[in-house]
Amino acid sequence: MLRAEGLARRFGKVVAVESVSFEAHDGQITGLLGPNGAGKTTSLRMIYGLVRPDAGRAWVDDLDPSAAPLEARRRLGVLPDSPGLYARLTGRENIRYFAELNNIPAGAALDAHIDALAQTLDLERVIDRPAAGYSQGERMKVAIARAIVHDPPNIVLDEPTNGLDVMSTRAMRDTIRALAAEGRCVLFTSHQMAEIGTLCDRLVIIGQGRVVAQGTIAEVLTRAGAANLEEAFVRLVGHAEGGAA
Amino acid sequence: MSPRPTPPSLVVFKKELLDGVRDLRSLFSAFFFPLLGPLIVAIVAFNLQRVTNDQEQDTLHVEGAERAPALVALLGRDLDIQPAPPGAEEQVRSGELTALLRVPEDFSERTSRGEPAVVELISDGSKHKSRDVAKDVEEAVNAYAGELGALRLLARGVDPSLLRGVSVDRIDVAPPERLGGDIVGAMVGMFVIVSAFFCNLYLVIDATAAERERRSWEPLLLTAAPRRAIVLGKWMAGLTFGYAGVIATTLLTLIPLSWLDLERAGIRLLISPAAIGMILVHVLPLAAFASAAQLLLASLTRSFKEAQTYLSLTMFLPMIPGMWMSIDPIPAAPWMMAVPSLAQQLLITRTISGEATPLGWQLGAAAACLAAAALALVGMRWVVGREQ
Repeated sequence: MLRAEGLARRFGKVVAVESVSFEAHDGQITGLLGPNGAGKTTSLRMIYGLVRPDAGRAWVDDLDPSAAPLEARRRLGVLPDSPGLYARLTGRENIRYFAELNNIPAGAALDAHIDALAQTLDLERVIDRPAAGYSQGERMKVAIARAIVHDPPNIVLDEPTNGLDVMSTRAMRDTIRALAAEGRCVLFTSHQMAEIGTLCDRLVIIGQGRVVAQGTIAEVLTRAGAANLEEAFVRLVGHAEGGAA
Repeated sequence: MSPRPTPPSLVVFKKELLDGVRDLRSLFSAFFFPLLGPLIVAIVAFNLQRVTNDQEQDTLHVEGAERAPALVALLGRDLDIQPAPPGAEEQVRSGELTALLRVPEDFSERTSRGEPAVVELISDGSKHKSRDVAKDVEEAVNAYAGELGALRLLARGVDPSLLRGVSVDRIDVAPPERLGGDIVGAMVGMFVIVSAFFCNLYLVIDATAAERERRSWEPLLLTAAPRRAIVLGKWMAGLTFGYAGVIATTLLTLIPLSWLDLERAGIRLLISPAAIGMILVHVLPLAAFASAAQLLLASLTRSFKEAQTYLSLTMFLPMIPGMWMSIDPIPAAPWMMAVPSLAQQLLITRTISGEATPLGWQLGAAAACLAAAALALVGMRWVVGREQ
């Protein structure tokens, strides 16, 4: 479970996050939406423990990442907005590096686990090639494997289908569903309304550093008085931006 | 029984080494630099030959030698006197001739009348050899003039020593081999010291600034590895590359140097396996400091190019003591042991010129480097820990 409670953070005079509270439950896919600059990334970084909140608290299960960063991170798997693989290492070496950094011993058991992940993500053909030659989709899939190799109960995916072709996008969505079906808490961000509509159990919409709506898709649509998600998003976020002006 | 997890610092260390070994640029910087060692030795060998050649007589071309036979005879003691060819002055200018002495037509007439006579010396002050010849000629002419003056005074019944208020008797205590040894020692020392900073350069940049640039930095920080383990692992990898380079550089420089016949040029160096071992021991703490300081600096930058610019500029700092000492060998003082690279420069120079250094100094130098390295690592831990 991931939880934010009144998170706030400013950088100098710029208020990046004014007040963000939400919950993402285990076994569910929670979508985090917001226009660029709305405070999504800063909110996520406060949950990772990379940025300290000025006010409020974040929770990874029952851990506060500012107080117990290592334990919190061990229970967290993150796919950042850019895969950031080591080009001279193979996919397997990239994944193994992160597994070992998360205290998983190297050895036959880990290699078998990586093989299983590669099979699920359809990476078997390329897993032992240097990452330099990967396609965008292969890079994303290796980054996903790297994020979940230590079997974290909480997973954050920052625009996981960005730049993927149709087949890879479908495979990625299947992976995300499977992760939630295993009982994990999945939080992901996206700008594609259709994707959010088909994938998410719950939605959190952020605008101008505040949560403007959260709940199931039906609840959000009702609240916005809109017929579809895009319209709801535009109304809710537009309202937040209009209100701030 | 399940295997135990590897400590995260070792995980980072192994990964950075693997990454470095696969990176042509990192490998190149680690193993190209030591290959310059034999080149340095070749420069020494070339200069050695020149020094030995210098012991042969230099040539002075003289125009009108017949007008000043006594002076020319005096010059002939140190120099090989040759008649000047036509256009000799031009040839000095173009570097074909070393120096030209012109005795004017009225020379003997003036000297016999007891009037001051002038000889013209054409030399090229920008050339080492020409300068030396000019100095020899000036000394000979002064000696001749002094003798001539003394004879004139004697002829008039005056004691020539009355004219000399004070005279200098020079006693130079520097044995020439010592000076030559210091210069070669300073060069070798500087080269070995720079290798500690150069050979890990690209690995260090790749593990810091380039990691930010390729955006693997944030995922790395999102693992459960403590920050200090990440810093430690990267430092150990940088140290390994740097010190491997130091070992290669030291061996590739000192072993060929020991093959040269330095004694012929009056240079006595002590290049024994024990001396080489001592040098490697002296440079290890410096390599530890180099790796830490460069990691700290590189982690403050945001891109490969930025890091490369700053680190190549700072590469000159550890060279300063060596450059200074090859121009003007300074006497060692205890405080110098506290300055990384200056201390090692002195220790290396003293080791290969066979001078003993107090053990306390050696330990002090190592302690100062290790303390500075620790400080830099604490600094880097802070940089890594601060908000991105």
